[in-house]
Amino acid sequence: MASGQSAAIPVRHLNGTRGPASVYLVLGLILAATLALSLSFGSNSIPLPVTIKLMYLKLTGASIDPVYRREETVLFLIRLPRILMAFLVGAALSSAGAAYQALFRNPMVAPDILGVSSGAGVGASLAIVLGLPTAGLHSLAFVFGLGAVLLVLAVTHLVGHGKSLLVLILVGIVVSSLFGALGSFIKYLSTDDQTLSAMVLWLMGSFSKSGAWLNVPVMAGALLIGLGPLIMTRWQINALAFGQEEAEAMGVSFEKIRLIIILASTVLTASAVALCGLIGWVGLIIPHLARFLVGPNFGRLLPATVLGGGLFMLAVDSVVRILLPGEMPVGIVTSLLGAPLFIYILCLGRKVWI
Amino acid sequence: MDLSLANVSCGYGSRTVVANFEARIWEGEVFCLLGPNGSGKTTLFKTILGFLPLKEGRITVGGADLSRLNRSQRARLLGYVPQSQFTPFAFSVFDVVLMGRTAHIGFLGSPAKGDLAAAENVLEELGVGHLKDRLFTELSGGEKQMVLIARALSQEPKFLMMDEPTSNLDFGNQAKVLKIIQNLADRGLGVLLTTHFPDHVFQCGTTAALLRPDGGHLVGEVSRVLTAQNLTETYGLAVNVFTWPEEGRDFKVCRPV
Repeated sequence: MASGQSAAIPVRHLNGTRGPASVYLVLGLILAATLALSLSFGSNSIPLPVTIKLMYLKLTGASIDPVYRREETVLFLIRLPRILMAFLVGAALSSAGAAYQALFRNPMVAPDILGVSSGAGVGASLAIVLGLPTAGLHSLAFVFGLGAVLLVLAVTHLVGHGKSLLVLILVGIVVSSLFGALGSFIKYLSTDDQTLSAMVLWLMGSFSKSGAWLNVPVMAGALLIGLGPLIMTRWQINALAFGQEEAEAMGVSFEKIRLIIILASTVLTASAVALCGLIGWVGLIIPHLARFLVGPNFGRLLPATVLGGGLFMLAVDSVVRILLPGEMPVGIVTSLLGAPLFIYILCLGRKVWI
Repeated sequence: MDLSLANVSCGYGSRTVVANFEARIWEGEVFCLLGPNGSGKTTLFKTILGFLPLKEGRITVGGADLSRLNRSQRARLLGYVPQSQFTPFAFSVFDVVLMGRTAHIGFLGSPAKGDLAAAENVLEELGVGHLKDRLFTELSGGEKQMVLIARALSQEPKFLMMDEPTSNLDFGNQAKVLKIIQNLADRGLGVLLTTHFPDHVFQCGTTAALLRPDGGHLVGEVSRVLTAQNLTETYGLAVNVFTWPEEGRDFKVCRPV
């Protein structure tokens, strides 16, 4: 009798059963605070009230007193584009990760599981060897990233077990490793130290160069293109949680939704990697944290992932820019933070939500 | 409306496991697929659901050829209660039941008010409304089975396909699920289930198919198919069926002897 009673007591904790609105609100507030601090501080610190005043003037389209010319330049030409870029890239990598984790039914999956990063790496290295301008590097990296994933899809189709997600993952590992080897080969061939260090630095991922106004609309466009289909098919994506057969029995066109997720995630990841280099762990960890906050329902998870991913990337890049000497690539810091954070989440997750 | 299997052959690759299977299942009936491991129960079951390609024959529901329907049209005819209860993500019970509405929600849609109400109703009808806000991953095996039945029912199918619905349950939950199966059939739903327990078929089945390891099969009324002789031949060990009348009907159990 007693056990029957206790079984009926609803378990409540940090999960989707409580309204996610408060989570979005808190994330939004933290984001606003981080944004203000990140804008104010740096090698040329600006008092917070001045930052807020100038932001307000800019947003309302009012003219800014020439006294503040230096501050205006620092804020709007140097810091703001980098901040926006960090936010967009964090949001893109995290949402790609969330979509892949839903598709592969595996919370351990990262956005580069199908080889997009190693593909983009080869494209970027090739562009550096060929001495292409920055736009060429970005384009080549994007094309190679996309190409690697298309190759994975084609090989999976040829192997014939097109229905199996396991084959897809295995081919992804093979193609990743192939492009990894190609990347190493290009590095091995380049005898010039400067070229080599440019490649290595690019692979580490950073916003110090790419955080420019030129790139912001490109990344924003890619984010919209990638997020659009994921938002529209959010309910179908939920039904993948019990696997292909059950999803199909519930009326999901599995192959269609799989293609949509792969293409959307590839656009998101390839553009982020092409513009800013390899930034690890964000796409793996943020969806975890977001699920922890709002639960796995994709319609709630995606906004939390976008906000959380953007916020995390912005915060880490701000720390790199403000506190650390020199320009340490942000990818190193995300990995240094990511690994222990992930272990911590795993410890929590064992009881809570996996 | 009927679920009809005409001259069905199924199997993996070039290997045919079940050949020339004929059966007709009507709404309100409980059709039980029985047979030893490897006799093709699961293969036939998965072929009906469209997880495996049909090698030969036709499967129709109300005259409509299933192979010509898309996933969503099929889902509105056949609901599926799987044997596995695994998902890595902690969806709420309500969300899981709501997933059953997917076939009624457009490809780009989200659950509407009617879908929420339908999910809620099904949970209440099955007497598990109190589980609504619990996390699916934290339920017991018996509770999960009830939720997965609720999910399939919220799909509003004409036929319910249940893969070994009692195999992971304790004694009490087995009886509970069998009772539910009977209630659903009484309300006009057609149920097709696979099972390893002839006793469960005696309890809730109207029709049975006994698949034999040699590829042969017997289909018909439960009392005519599940005889001591047929069970003995199929499972390769001496089985006896005991009958006793109670409350105006015959109860049956079988035992190896």
